[in-house]
Amino acid sequence: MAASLKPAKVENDIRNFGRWFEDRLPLFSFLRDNMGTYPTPRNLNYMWNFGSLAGIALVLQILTGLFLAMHYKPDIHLAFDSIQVMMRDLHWGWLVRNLHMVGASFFFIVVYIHIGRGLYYGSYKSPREVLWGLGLIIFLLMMATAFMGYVLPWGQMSYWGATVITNLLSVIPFVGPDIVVWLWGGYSVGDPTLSRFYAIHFVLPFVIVGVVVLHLWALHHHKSNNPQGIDLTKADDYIPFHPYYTIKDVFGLGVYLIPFTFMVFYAPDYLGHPDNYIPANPLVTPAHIVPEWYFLPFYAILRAIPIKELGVAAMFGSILIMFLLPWLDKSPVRSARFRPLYRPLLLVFFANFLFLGWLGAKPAEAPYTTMAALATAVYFAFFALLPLLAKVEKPKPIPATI
Amino acid sequence: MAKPPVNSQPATAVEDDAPLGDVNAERRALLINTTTAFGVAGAACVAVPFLRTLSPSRATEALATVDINLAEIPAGSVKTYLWQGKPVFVWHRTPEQIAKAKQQDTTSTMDAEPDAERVKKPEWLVVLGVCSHLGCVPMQGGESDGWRCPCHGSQFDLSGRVTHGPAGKNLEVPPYAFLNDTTIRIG
Amino acid sequence: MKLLLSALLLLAPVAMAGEGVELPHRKDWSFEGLRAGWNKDELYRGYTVATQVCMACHSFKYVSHRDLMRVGFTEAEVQTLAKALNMDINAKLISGMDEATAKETFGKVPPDLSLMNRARAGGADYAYWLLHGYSEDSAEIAKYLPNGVPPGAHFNKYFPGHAIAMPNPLTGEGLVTYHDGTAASIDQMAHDVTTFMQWTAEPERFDRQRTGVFVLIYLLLFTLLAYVTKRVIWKDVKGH
Repeated sequence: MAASLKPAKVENDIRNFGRWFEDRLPLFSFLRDNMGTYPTPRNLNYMWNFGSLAGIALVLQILTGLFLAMHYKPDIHLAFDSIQVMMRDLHWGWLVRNLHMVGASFFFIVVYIHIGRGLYYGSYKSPREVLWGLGLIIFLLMMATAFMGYVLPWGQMSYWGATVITNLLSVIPFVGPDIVVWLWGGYSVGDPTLSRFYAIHFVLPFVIVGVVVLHLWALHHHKSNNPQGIDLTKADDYIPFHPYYTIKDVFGLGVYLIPFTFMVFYAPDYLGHPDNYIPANPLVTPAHIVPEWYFLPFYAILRAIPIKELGVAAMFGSILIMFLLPWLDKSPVRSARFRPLYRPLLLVFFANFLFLGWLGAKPAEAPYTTMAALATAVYFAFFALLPLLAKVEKPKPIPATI
Repeated sequence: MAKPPVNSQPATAVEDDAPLGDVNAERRALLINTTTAFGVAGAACVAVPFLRTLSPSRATEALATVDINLAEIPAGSVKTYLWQGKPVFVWHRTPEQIAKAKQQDTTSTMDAEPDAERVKKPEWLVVLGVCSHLGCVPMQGGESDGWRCPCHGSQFDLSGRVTHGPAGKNLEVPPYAFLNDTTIRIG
Repeated sequence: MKLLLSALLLLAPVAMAGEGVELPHRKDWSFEGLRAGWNKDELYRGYTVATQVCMACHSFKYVSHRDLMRVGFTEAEVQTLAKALNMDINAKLISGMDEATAKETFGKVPPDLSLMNRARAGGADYAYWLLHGYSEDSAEIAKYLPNGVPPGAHFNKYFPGHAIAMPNPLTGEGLVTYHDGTAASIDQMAHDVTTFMQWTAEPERFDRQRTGVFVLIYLLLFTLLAYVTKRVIWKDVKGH
């Protein structure tokens, strides 16, 4: 018996078991093909880090959320207190809660940059239209998840945010008001609303994981775009994902975690709103209600148009129009590096988006409403100009290789 | 995002990268291992606070003791209290019961322990009302004049000692102290 | 990219700066900046004001005497303090005034104070200046409330709207007697009770800050190490 325990023998046994397993479920080769030897353009810049960062941010939210869920109580009489119990009585409860709270904000920062990178380098163009669309679906699911998550602490902003946002659906012709009542499970946001939002908030992230799998599948089918935006033809244009991009992503993760944990430990409330430390009160609306910062640009678009139905349509339209981007932009050139007209236009679009975010935090009064109307016009003008742009734009010479 | 990233431009001419000597390969491996180990250690440290959130909260820890007023238990009767979510039996034993419990020292031998070591004052028996078999709450009575467990029939005597299986251990004596003649603190 | 990040981060305070009143200036608090922990004497004095003045009407429903043991109070001290109020050390600091009476007296239920410093823009400064904001000077009142003080309300310069339901709680010097003999001036009491309220609002503050030091040092080292490793691994890639 003793002889059979020689290291060489053990190693051999492990290898044999590996082969046996691989024959039945080719897990190892799947991991190798998709994470190990997976061919990745060698010229990706740091903007490409944000994809993997978004994945890590999602996992972190699920993990911290799981531990919070074990202590949270989805009941309007207990919800607010249960969070104070986490913050005070639970060992390290404050850490997990702050990670989740700040983590949501940082997830959005990462995803906004990730989307911006796609826009800049034309990653939405053929053959990656479905990849782009799946990404936008993830973004929409994230927004729904974040919105419902913000309701859970049952503070004043939770309550009034939930009231205002659910009321958006009342613009649906004929059935709108009934749908809102159905959504609430009552005649106002209340206990049934909180319980169902909690259930949905818990399950949506797993739906997101599912769409992320599709997103990655689509990505790996046609491989990554690259800063030059050209199709790669030579074998040495690619390098294996591991170790090159694993270490680059690990380094990127470190850079990301520094400001993230700084906020968690030294400024957890910075991105939040003090009113959410006041328990929800259906009788008093706070003087200024604002959504979480990551919704502000869309909130500005909502308020820019003084007709309710149009405002709601513009807000949803501002995201939905992104799905059409691959077809609105008819230029065959992907990267903005070689597009002398698209590039400045896109930079204006980015600046305008930040401006909308700033406006979203301002009270709905002159002169901000006029500014918001203008900025909304600029937002949509970007998409309207794209089809024309391809006709007049003379791309810079595009290199044949990277 | 505004400007094209600098990093993809061939920044430095790396002419000397062709023959990586053994020394370099070794240093490279060492560096990779160090980074990996450092990262794994960090991740392991993060697990600690996460798992710690699952242990009893400070509020639960704060309520880990309970004070019992003995004056409310008449001689000869047992009262049940809740301590850390578990029942505690406090038996105000009569002199006859004490004498009987002492006699049982010789007969209750499954988990032999003299009655004198199981009490702080002979007239007060304090035991956990948790059967040492699988955690049911025993009922008063039974063939040994103490308790019997409704789940699987274990028997306990006047000192809470097991006299009949399937339980193999005596009822546990929780940590307690007399704060004064009429008050004990459990925990 | 950095520009974008900081621009995104800048949006938040814009969002917070909404309504409210201008506060005279930022106070230097003993819990701000690089500190090792709460100042126990300030907390003790703040506790005195909180329990003897505030708790006549307000509760601190997330705080018990036992919690003081986490900021340097001994069990004996805490037991003595709790006993003086006829409370169990595990009991939350609930005001003796019931909600119905409170509503009748003030027109509204006095809010719980545990989280007050986190629930108001301006935080500790707001609480501190609010306690300084009362005035009987009719000229000053007229400046802020030209139509006079509404019935049942009280003038307060720093309260949004300037008419507050709460009467001036710090009615005069020496309202409380401090354990350490500090003179209980209005400013001293306002300062101490605000510090106490900061502790009740975020008792985890220094746990957070202490842990953060270790985490950030670790992350800086780790990131540096990862960077060097990245450079070494990428050395043989064309164009790098």
